[in-house]
Amino acid sequence: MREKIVILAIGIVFLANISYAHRVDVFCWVDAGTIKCMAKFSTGDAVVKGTFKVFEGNKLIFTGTGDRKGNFSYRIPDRILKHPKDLKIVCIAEMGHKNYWIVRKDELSSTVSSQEDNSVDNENFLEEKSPSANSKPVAIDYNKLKEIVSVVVDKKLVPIREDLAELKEPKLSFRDILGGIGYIMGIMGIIMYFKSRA
Amino acid sequence: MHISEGVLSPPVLITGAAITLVGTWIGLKNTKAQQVPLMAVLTSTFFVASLIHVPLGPSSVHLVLNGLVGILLGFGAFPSILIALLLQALFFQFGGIIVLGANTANMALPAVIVYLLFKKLCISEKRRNRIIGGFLSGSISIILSGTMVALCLFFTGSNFNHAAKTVLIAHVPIMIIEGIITALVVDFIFRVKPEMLLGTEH
Repeated sequence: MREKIVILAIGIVFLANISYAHRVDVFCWVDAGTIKCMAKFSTGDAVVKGTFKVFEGNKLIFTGTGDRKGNFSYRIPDRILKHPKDLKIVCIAEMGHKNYWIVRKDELSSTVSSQEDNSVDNENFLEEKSPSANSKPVAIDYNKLKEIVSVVVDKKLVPIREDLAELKEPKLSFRDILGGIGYIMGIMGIIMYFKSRA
Repeated sequence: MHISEGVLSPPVLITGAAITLVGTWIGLKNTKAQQVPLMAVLTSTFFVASLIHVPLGPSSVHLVLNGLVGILLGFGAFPSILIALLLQALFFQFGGIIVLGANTANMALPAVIVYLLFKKLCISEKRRNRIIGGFLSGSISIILSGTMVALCLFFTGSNFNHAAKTVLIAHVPIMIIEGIITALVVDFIFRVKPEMLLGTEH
């Protein structure tokens, strides 16, 4: 019987998928005048219908709810687009889980003019204007081109930003686990030392 | 079960810290030098337990094991859980330093309550009683911890019914799993090394 229990205990430990939880990770980016956010638990599960709060400094300017996949988007008001400021997006999940992401004003300022351009079909625009063998080269407004490139680059950068955000997240390693156990033994050693002296 | 930093209001944080302070003081005072190695092992177990996810259908649950810590350590659960949560906050960013007192109280107070309620049952000569005592310790400590988390959120301004419902529904599977694990471990320890269980019996 004893052997069975030991085997069962070992089985539970080894069959279990060692991962980490208890933390919400939020990632936000600016996409043509809209802040898009993605929130998930550190286990990889999406934060279902989490509450998102947008702060301008300490002032709450918007409260919304994410979808079932942990996504949330917020249309940046013109006022902020004209005078960009850092925005703090706080995600509150169930059971007291919370985290935030700060959208820097630099990101907002880069999207200022491209917001107006959002309705433009950028690819068609490029196609129409691109010189072909039979047409003469057409001069493209430098600023317009800059905005289009900015929108396209923003879109292309999203997966890279996601990867970077993931890399920034503290990863759990066996070194940390063993280090933690080592600290516990050390602290208990100190307690035992004082207990034995008393 | 780990409440994040910046969620709770100052009165809740202070109350949690006060409960933890008093509990830790009583725990350290009552712990004998011979019990410290057991405390070290259980602290390590608690530290690692919440990293172990048991796959359960589409989702997974993680172990807490505060009932087991309570039954074996009594008030010693306070210093034990405090140290484990401190290291979890530092190493894994679970919970946080400011909220440490409240998180410790949420997990250690139920551990002490199940110790006071079920310890006698867990050291009973009858195997059936030990299994029942162990199961109740494991599962009720989870219910109580969940209720305390909901109370913390309620006193910070959340709707209690909603918070309690969410916390309790999320913890039903782990209540059963912890109950079974605690029952098996308590019964096993009683048969192979009863002094570990009897050590905290006053």
